[in-house]
Amino acid sequence: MSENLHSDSLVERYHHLTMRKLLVLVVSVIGVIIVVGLFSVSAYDNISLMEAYRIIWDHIMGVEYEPRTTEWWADRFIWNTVMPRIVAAIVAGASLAAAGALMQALMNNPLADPYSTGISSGACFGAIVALVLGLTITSTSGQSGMIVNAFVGAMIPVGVVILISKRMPLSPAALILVGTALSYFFSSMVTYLLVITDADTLQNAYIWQVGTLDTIVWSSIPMMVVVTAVGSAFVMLLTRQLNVLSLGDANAKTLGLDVEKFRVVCLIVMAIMTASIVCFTGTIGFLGLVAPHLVRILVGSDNKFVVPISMAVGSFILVLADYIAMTISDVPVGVVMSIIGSPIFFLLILWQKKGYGTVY
Amino acid sequence: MDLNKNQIIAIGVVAIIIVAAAAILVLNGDDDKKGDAEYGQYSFRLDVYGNANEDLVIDDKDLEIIQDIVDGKATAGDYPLADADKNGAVDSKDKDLVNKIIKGQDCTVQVICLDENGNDVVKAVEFPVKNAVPYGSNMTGVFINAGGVDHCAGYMSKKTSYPEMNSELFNSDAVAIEISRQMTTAGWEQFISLDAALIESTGKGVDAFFVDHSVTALSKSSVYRDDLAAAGIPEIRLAVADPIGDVNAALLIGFLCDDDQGYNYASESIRAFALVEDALSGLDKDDQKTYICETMGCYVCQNDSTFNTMPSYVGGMPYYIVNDEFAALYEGTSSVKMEGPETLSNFDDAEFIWCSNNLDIQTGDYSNTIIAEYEEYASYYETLDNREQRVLINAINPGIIKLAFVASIMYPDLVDEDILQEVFDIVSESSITLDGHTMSEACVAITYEDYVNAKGA
Amino acid sequence: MALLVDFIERYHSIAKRRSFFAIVFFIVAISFVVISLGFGTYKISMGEAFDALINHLTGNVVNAKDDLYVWDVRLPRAIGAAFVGAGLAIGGVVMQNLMQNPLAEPYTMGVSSGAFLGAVLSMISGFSIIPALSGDYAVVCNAFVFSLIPVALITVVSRFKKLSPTAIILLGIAVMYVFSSITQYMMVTAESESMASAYHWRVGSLSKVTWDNLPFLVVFVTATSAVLCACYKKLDIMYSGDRCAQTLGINTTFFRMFCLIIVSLMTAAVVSFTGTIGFIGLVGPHIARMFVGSKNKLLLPGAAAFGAAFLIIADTVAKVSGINGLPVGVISSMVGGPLFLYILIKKNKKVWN
Repeated sequence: MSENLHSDSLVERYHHLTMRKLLVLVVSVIGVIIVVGLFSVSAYDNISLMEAYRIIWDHIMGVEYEPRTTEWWADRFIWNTVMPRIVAAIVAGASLAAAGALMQALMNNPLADPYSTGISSGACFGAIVALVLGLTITSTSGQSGMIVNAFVGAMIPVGVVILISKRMPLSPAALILVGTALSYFFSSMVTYLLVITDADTLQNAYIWQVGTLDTIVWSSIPMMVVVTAVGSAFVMLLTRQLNVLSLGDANAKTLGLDVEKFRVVCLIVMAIMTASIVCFTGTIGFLGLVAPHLVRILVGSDNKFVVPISMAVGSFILVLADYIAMTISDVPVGVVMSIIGSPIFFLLILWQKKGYGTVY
Repeated sequence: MDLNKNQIIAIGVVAIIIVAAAAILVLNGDDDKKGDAEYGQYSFRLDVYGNANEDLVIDDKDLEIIQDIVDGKATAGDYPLADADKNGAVDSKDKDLVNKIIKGQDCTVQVICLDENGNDVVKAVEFPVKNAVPYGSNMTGVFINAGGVDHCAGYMSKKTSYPEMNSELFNSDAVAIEISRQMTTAGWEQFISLDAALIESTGKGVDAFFVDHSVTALSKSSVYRDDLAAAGIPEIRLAVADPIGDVNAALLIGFLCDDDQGYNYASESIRAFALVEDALSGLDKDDQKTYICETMGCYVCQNDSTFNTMPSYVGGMPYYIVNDEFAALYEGTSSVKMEGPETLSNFDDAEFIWCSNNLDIQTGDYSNTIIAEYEEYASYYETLDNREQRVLINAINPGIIKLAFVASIMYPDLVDEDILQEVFDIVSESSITLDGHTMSEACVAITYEDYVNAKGA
Repeated sequence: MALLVDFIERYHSIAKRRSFFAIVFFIVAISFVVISLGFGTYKISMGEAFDALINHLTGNVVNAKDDLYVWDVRLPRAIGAAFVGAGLAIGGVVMQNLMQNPLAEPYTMGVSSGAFLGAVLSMISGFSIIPALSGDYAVVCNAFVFSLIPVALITVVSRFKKLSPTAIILLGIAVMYVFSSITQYMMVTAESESMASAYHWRVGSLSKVTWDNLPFLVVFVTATSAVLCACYKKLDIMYSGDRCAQTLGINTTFFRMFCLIIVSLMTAAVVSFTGTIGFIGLVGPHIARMFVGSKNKLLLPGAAAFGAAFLIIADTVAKVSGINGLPVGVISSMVGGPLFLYILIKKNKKVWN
């Protein structure tokens, strides 16, 4: 009798957990759709939610309006200013969350995030060299020069880390330390550049550093989408190995995983995913750190589920944050993410439960 | 005919008087008593094609010149602004256009303004402008003084931009679009809603977007420029931070709105400025005073920045001309932060330090404000020999008034109290922002003496 | 027996060499205080600067302008640099011992972000803890008070929940994130001039140190450092771990909190005047350790001397770089980053192989 109960409750618990995973996923996706509508409505005051969806649908269908009428402006505004921003939020949220989950599994450290290897300061350095000195790699000025610079800058620290790890094998902790040292170096250069420039450029650079979706246009989207899609497909294929890695380097090796090579490959993938987002939006923080954590608390640590669900949750959080950022006070989205993310981080540290990735 | 003796004497006397008068006029009029002082370059002009004689208005004189060119009596090359419709040739179409302008009828005029790099560019504007939108805190004041309030659909400015001074605009029916210093998505959305609402109610949307050239915001996103281009709304960038640009901008805006206020303000300002110039006409090059400019309290203006050029219009000598080391260090058009009290220590033989600040119109006893403003960045200057020659100039005042104050502080013997008061009266009465306010309320300059007096009070 | 004698001899010679280094650092620090008087934007040669100093001390001022710049502008700055550098380095040593973590530094407890928030509140929104103050005084007071809030928070939390050193560090980082998120919001919505001032404040500069505020700085740093140095034995023991320390009779929780509060007070005092100058607290102790060894009896004064020398030299370099000088924080971070990397590589070579 007790045996039956036991096996019943086990089955029940399994169903319960699977339902939970599905629930989180569905809630995130619905949440994104709702916020998309809300976004368009709040952005453009004169239309209702239904009208906003209708305008988006009509545009896809190819309907055109009389110039300078309400509908024409609404269509133009939603399509050129709001839609790219929303799409970017969805893609960036997914990409950064996936990169975060990947880093946390790779470094076996629940406090790792995509910027741990110095990507954020490298990208900042590239962008700010373009902004302050006007020196760009492709010799174009303005936005596109800054984007290319930021991408190249983001890849430099990763390149250095990989070079060092080829000379001597690095443990995850050592990797992060090297990344931290590199980020100190790059941020000292950034500080120098910002100190010698004038106040307006300083504020623009600071806003870029905080992370903003204000400057996204349609031409930025294709690269972000392609890299995110390819990168996350790649990560999904590797979830089994990531699970194995969580047992520790030594154990993983005995289970047949070439730990060093795997780590290098994953680092490169993660770097490309992160760099391609960060060069357009600036270094939006907390997403890669907090989203996988929350997901792990809800659905457990199996990377097969953690990665895709944290992508959905990440998109939802970023779209919501951007909505708040734009409607409430027109601040860059990075500020909203900090304000939301830092208390969550604080509480996570305070209420560490034994089991899911404790730190101490 | 037979003239008797009396008539001959009468004619002779008249002739002598006429000749004498002519002689006196010739001798005096030619006596351009300007000393050999060097001044900044400037010109006052209505920057619209069709203003063939390049004066302050488009009128019959311009028609005559165009007619002369059409008839072949004058060459088009001598009158670059004669081609009113900018189609490449000066012909009867230009005459028709200028006629329409003079009569105030609807037409399209070609306006010279700036692009974001500061180069001249020509924009087509629907004349007369009925739904203007000014953008930028420096632009608001000039726009009001040009008479733009009655032709304004909305304005973009920060919430707290000088409510006293801009009261005429803030209390009008124009839609307030609140933004920060940079353009925001919400602000842009309000702008385009305004355009749509105007089209629906009146058939004519926003027809001119006046932008202060020192604002960098529109360069943040090409989307905004694309929107303006697709809707056919011209972005008219004007250098309003410069005092001469202030007058020219008011003239242009007044013209485009077909409102006399702009012309009145501009011509009175020019007349007032002429008084200052006359007073300074005896200035010798050796007596020119050197100066360094500062902005935002502790940022040294670089050599070619707008603020650094301002005192040179009234005979000031920028310090970089007399000191090569300073010239090399401060090359550029922007500004550099002072690191500490030693920054200007090698250059404290400059005879004046002009600091730009921003103060709304003050009422009553504002000694505390004076003390607070003067002391705010005093620590950067307290070791300098010329610290008592530091003067705060209130940048939001009309340009000619600023110039007059700068001139009277530099050369008090040439530009004395009376001239200063007269200039202030002329300009303030013709303006809207300062009309009815006294010189003390405008708080144009805070000198060391003002500071000491305020402390003593 | 011969081995023992040999060993004792070698021990003594190492100890002598280490003390020698400590004294060298001290001499370098003192001499650079004087040498730095000759550097700066104001044109004056080393000889003239030295003369001006002597003249002032003997009461016989020859050139008033030289005297003004050398005595009133440069000397307090140099002395301030010495004390700030010494204080931050001592703080770094203490933190590293307390947290048993070579990456700990005085700012780990969130002092820097608290101070920055206080400064930003004063510079951007004009809010001041003591309403009567304004301008620079308000910034200093705000920064001091707000920099102690994270420490207070962590102390309160540690009453209710037992915190290991790692936990304290993580909590410090979390509090830092919270404070800096509020600061970020204020920075992006501010006028660009106020925002630029706030940013320059954070980078860290010694240009605001004058004879008026130098006494506070000196007294604070000396008093707190004296207290910390008096505990040198206990700090030595703390580094080997909590269990070990407890068996040797130290009340680790109380001692840790006590020292943390003292270090935070000192850092708060330093930071309110100069802004957050980085790296001295992190890298200084490590480099000092390479020359002077890990025993706190020598390391604490040795690190203090090294920190002082390092910051004075950095400030001297800062005074002459750029167009009209740079804030010293830029120089210390430019030097500190590569130094940190170098230390990592050198120290952990055996670990990595």
